[in-house]
Amino acid sequence: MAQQEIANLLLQQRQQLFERWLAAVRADARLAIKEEMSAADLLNHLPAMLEQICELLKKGEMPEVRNTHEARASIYTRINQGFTGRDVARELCLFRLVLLEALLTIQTNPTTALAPKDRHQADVIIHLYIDEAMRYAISAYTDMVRFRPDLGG
Amino acid sequence: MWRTGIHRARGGNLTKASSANYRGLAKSHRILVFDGTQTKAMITQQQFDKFVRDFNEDYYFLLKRASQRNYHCLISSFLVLKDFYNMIMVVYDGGGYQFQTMPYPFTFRANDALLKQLGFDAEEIGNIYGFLEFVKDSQGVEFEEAIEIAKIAVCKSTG
Repeated sequence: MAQQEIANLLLQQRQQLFERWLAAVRADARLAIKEEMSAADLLNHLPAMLEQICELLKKGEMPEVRNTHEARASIYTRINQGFTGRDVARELCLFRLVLLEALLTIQTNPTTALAPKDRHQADVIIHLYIDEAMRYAISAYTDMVRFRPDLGG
Repeated sequence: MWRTGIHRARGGNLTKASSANYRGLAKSHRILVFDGTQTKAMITQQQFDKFVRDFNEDYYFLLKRASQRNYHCLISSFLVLKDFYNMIMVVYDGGGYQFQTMPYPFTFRANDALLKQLGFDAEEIGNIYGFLEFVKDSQGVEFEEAIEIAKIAVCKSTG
C-alpha cells in the first residue's frame, strides 16, 4: 500500500483520531490542562499538524526544519496559552501514540493489507515529525523560560 | 580565503552547567567564518535578534494587508518572507542562537488564537482567511502549494 493511501486513511478518520487524543489528554492525570479549556482550544493546531504529516506521507518527504511549520505554529500557540514545556511534550507524545495505533489498525485490517515496509516508512515520518516538534519546543521553552519562569514547570 | 562551517562543541563541562556555560556552548554552535585573519561568527546574536524582529514586523504587515483585503501581490510577498523564516529556523536549529523574542509562526491557517493575539478582530480574521480562499480560487491550489509554485516560477525566470 502506498503512503498516499495511508495518508488518505488517516485523514478519513481524523475526527476519531482527534476524539481519541482529546480523551487521552483529559484522562492523563499528569497533564495540568485546565478543565474549562474547550475542545477547540485543546485541539489547537493538531488538525493542521495531521494534514502536514499526511502531506509528507503523500510526497514521501522526510520531516525537517523547512516542512514542519505547522508543528512550530502549535508550539508557539501553546507557549502563549501558558502551557508548560512538559505538558507540550506529553500532548505531542499522546498524539504520536494515537497516530501509531491508527497505523496498527490499518495494518491489521485485512482490507487494507499494509505492507511492513510501508508501515515502517509511515512510522518513520510520524516519529520524525513529532521529534521536530519536540526539538523546537525544547529549544523555544529553554529560551523563553528566561523571561517567563512559569513556563518551565 | 573565506571558509564557513558549523562548529559543534561536545557538551563542555556538564557539572558546571551554569548559564555562562550555556552561553559558551551556544556560541560554539554558531556559523563561523574565517576572513583571512580571524574566525568570527558570521551572524552575531544581535543580528539574529534583528532578523527575528524584522520577520515579525514584516509578517504582521502582510497579515495587516490581508486583513484589509489588500491581496495584490501578497503571494510573492509571502514567498520572500517564507524564505526569510526558513533561514531563521535553519540557523536557530543549529543551536548557536537564542530567541529573545519568539518569531511568529509562518503559517496562519486556522489559527484564531494567533490572529487574536496579534490584535485582529473577527472581521479582519475573516479577511485573512479570505486570502486563503482567494488564492485557492485564483490559483486553483492551496496557499502553501501556490507559494511552492511561485518559487519554481521565480527559479525558472531567473535561470
